[in-house]
Amino acid sequence: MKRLVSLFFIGALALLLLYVVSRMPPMGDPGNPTATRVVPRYLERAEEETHARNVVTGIIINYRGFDTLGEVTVIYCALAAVLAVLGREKRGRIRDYVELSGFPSSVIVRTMVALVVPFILLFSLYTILHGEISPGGGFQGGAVIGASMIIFTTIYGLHLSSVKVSQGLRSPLEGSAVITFFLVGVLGLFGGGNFLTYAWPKVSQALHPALVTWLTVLVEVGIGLGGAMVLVSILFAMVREEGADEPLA
Amino acid sequence: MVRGREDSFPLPTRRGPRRFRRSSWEVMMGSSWDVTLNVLLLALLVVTALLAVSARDLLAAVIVFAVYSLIMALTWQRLQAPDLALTEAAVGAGVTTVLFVVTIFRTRRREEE
Amino acid sequence: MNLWPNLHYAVAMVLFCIGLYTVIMRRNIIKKIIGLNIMETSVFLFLISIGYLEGGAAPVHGHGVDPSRMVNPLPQSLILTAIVVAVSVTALALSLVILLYRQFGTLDVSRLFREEEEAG
Repeated sequence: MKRLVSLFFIGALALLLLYVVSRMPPMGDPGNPTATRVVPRYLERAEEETHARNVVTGIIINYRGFDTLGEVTVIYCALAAVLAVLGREKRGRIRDYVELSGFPSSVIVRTMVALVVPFILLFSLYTILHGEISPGGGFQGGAVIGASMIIFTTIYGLHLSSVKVSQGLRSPLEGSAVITFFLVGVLGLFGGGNFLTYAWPKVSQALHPALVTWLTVLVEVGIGLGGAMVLVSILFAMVREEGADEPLA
Repeated sequence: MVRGREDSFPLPTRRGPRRFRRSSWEVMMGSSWDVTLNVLLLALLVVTALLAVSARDLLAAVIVFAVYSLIMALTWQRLQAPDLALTEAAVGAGVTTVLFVVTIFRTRRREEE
Repeated sequence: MNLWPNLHYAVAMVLFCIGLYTVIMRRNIIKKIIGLNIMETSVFLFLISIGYLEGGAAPVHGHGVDPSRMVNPLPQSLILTAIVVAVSVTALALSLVILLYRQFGTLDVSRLFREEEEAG
């Protein structure tokens, strides 16, 4: 009975949505309102105003910077909530009580992972630093660093990877996304503009292009590093065993 | 990537050597190849989504969900959004899938009935 | 009725309904989280498809592309934030699932409701 009612409801919703979609202007039409109203101004003036050749990076760091501040706050709050739920290990190394068996630890896999992980880290560094001149950016590189550490933890075990990325390294850097973003924003106030003004209006003209680019790269690196450490910390919190894992009475 | 236009990017049309001119067969097959690829990717999206929600073994469902994330990343690349394709590929297939697998190993693997 | 040019929109709506059905009807919590992720990514697909331009190029200067031929970069920046939020929500939901299993020993929602009623 419940299944029939929900199927009917979702079928009606699907028909309504498909009807609405069929009445929309055709996709990709150059005369669409989405392509002619607000967008040309952003596309044409993005390079000269934000000094970033990747328009998407220019938008998320410069034009719509507040949204990115909200995003880094969200990911930091997620880490705080996960640690509140699952708990963090004491300072020092995580002792594996139970090996997460089922993952192969044959020689081929271990060798390949040891060979591939440095290149993944190099690629993620490239992605973070090239965020404004090619597709890429802060969080992309951070997610790739997180993925590389996940591979390493899966194959080599939690003990070794918690030695490599120890809590003393992770704890100060988890908040680096929020702190970097906030400090660069406040720096804009000192320079004479609003919050998150990258170009300082009262400083001499010769300083401008390099300053904007350097501040943008600093923000990107902060977001990337912070995002990576948050993802690694969430993974360690979930993989770690706290004694036996049986349900409480 | 622009196909099917005479003043195509990145090379302007030239009345020069013949190798820069596209034959009409190329123009026709080029654009319908694009459409075919898009339709194929969208069909695969729906199929993998249906498989992911109907699998009884939770590990299989999560692996199919990783495939769904990857095909979604490919679709976004076809829609000329390379930043998002990179992020979704790294996050969907890398982080989210492994978090699901860790949760399944901590809890139980088969769906209860 | 033009559904064929708007195929991406239609598939996004279908995926949204598949995800919604999963969240409502499946009893396993992990299936519900998978359904939630499918709903989120379907909305991302919808918004990116709105910004597409026929024969457009990626919004990156420096490759000699005319700015009037680039696709819309505004939905892409919005969805970059949304992907981060989606992964945060998934991570938190999965850690709550681990805690729930430790406490109750089951992942089936109907059994969880019954045990919660019995516990008073």
